[in-house]
Amino acid sequence: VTSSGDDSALLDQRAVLDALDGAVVVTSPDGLILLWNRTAELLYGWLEHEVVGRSILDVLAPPAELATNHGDVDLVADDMSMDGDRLVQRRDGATIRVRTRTTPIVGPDGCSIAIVGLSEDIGDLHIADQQSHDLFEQFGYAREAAGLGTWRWDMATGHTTWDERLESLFGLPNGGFDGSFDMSVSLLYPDDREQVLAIVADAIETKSRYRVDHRVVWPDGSVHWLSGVGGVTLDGSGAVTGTVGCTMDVTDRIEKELIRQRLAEATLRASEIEEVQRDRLAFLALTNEALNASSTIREMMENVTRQAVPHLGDWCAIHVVTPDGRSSPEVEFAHVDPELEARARRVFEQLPYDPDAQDGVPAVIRTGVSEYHPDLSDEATSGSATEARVLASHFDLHSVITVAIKRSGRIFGAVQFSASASSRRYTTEDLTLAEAVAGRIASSIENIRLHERERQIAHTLQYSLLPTSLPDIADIDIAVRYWPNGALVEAGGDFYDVFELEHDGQCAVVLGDVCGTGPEAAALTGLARHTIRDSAWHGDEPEQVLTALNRAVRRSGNETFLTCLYGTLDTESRPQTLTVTCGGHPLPVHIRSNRAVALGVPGTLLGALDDIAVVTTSIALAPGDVVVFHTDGATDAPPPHDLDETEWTQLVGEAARPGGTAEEISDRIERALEAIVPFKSRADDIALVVLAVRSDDGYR
Amino acid sequence: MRMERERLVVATSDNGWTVAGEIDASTAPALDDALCTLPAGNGAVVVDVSDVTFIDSSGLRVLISLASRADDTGRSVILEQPSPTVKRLLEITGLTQMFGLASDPADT
Repeated sequence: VTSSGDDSALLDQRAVLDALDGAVVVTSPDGLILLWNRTAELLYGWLEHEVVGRSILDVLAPPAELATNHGDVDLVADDMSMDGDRLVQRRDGATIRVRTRTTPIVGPDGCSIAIVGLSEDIGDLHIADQQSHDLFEQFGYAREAAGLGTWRWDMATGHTTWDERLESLFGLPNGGFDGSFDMSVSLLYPDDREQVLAIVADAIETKSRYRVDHRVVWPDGSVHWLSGVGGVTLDGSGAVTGTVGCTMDVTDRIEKELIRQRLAEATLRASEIEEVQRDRLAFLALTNEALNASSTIREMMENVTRQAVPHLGDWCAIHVVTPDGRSSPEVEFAHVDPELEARARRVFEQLPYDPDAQDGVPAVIRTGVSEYHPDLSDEATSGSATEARVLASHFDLHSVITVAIKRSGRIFGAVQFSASASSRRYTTEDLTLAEAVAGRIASSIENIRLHERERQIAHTLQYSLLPTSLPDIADIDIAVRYWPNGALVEAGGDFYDVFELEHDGQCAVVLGDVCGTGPEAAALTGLARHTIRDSAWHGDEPEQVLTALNRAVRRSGNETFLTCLYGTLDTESRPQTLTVTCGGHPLPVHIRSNRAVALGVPGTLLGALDDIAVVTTSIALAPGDVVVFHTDGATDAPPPHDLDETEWTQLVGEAARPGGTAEEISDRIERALEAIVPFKSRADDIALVVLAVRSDDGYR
Repeated sequence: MRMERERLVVATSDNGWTVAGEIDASTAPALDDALCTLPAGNGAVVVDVSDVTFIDSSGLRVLISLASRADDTGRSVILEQPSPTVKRLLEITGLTQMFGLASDPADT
């Protein structure tokens, strides 16, 4: 650039130079500064007029510390070309990095007449490069430290590049990966392939980063967990060109996590199982209680079904076959929802019981084999479980167990537990529980039946041995009482009898007690009554009657004995007379004018010895007299409730004192005995005979 | 031999047994078992019943059975120091003589 005569042209040229973004410096070939534009002033800190005429080498000297170094300075030293990057010191002493391109201006003679240099500050750019370089190095270290392997997939070629580390993460030797997509997929754990490919495909689709944990199978067969982080690479137009990413081995972490997860699951499962077991035990305990609280079959059926819901389902039905097995089983059921229960009753009433049905309760009762339908909806097409499906459709039940109530090969019925879809699904453990419950129900039914039978026999036997009606005796009121023992299981040995004798106005009053209970005692009771009647009707005296009875018992071969009070009443004589003869029996109590005393003389009990000693005592009765015969059950309650003779006499005396009919006196004795020990708790049976002599104005 | 039941204690003695406690339907079978073998010898079989606090016909049956077995071998059974309850039962049933007790003059 040279000066020109045209001011405006000069001005324009200068303005252009100053407006340039680069620092423009023109020197003479020997390095003296000819021109220094505005940008050069800003870059180097020197104003144009300060540097023009000076040597460029002086003005733009390299920093002192670099003076002896190679590199940038060499460029300057070799020749005057300053092309390239170098460090220079600004006027203020700061070091800046500049990039310079120089262009010679050649004169007409071909020699260069000036050199134009254009420089720019490249400090920022250099730092970025440096940082990039450093980062790459750091990344390398980090990669090393973390065991990261890297890859790059080029979509265009389909080739994948793995570094050595990544190959080792896949168990491959250096160079063992052939770069193919197929091989990279084949190394993935089969179950994980689909997921990994889907995640990568999605990332490519959305041009996003992704992360995936997956397993790989090493050539030696071992399985390892890898965690990969990847991203897609894009070209200038934003199109995907491939993926890059890195991967690390996370086997330890995942396995620890899995173990922790498994432990947590196992703990949860264990606590669930424990709770279920606790429920089951509680259910069994409740069932036992329900069974124990039942004294009849019907009661048992109600108790068990009520207790079963909702403990073992929403619905429980129990069918018990009748003892003769001829009619339909008795049915009882319970549903958590009372409305549904009412509907169930209607449905069951309408459904005839088909003993030959191929499945359900009738089949279970027939075969004894349990039916187990954990999920009816699964079996809807199987053709079985007809009954269960009826239940399902009516009552929204989806899981059904039907088990036989059986014991020692005998089938007593069936019990059915069902659950609605929302509550539970039965398991084989529930089946086992149901069978256990059914077993207990079976033994309960057996016991109840046995007990009922025994009671019935005892009752029948006992009352068959007592007279059904008493003779009507003039002026003497007679009441009899018999209380079976509280357990009612066996016939007791007490008996009484009142019958007319041959002579008009005479009758016998008998009270006895066969030692022992049950059928043997009952047999001996029958023998005693007939022997006494035979002998008495034969006209025997009281001593002879008891002697005949003793002989009969001895001859019967029974290893037992009995005690007996034999009394006779003569209502024709005036005054009326009573005789009492005692064969080892507690003496009767005679009450007259509020004074109660034992009547008669003790004699030998019957059946124990070949010879007996008995004495007959005779008294004249007076109007208002009361005589009470009793068996030892009345007095011989276990201590401290036992009564001695004095206490008994007193009790009877008090009962007779208000007077009244024999029935009324009996009622008072009954109340007094009940107060001492309730009859239902007594182990022994009690018989009473009360005689009340009418006074002229009725009963005293 | 010594056996214990909840409410009855039977101990053997030189010539028989000592029985203490309550004899009723529930304890009588145990007593019967305990008295099943007679003591050795030919002398009277002695049962000390001084501490029997309760006895009913079930207990009486055991004693009668014992007396009957003793009688079969010509031996007698003596109930020693009968407590009031035993005495009373024997009186009511007219068996005082059978068990070697002094009989009440009123019996004859």
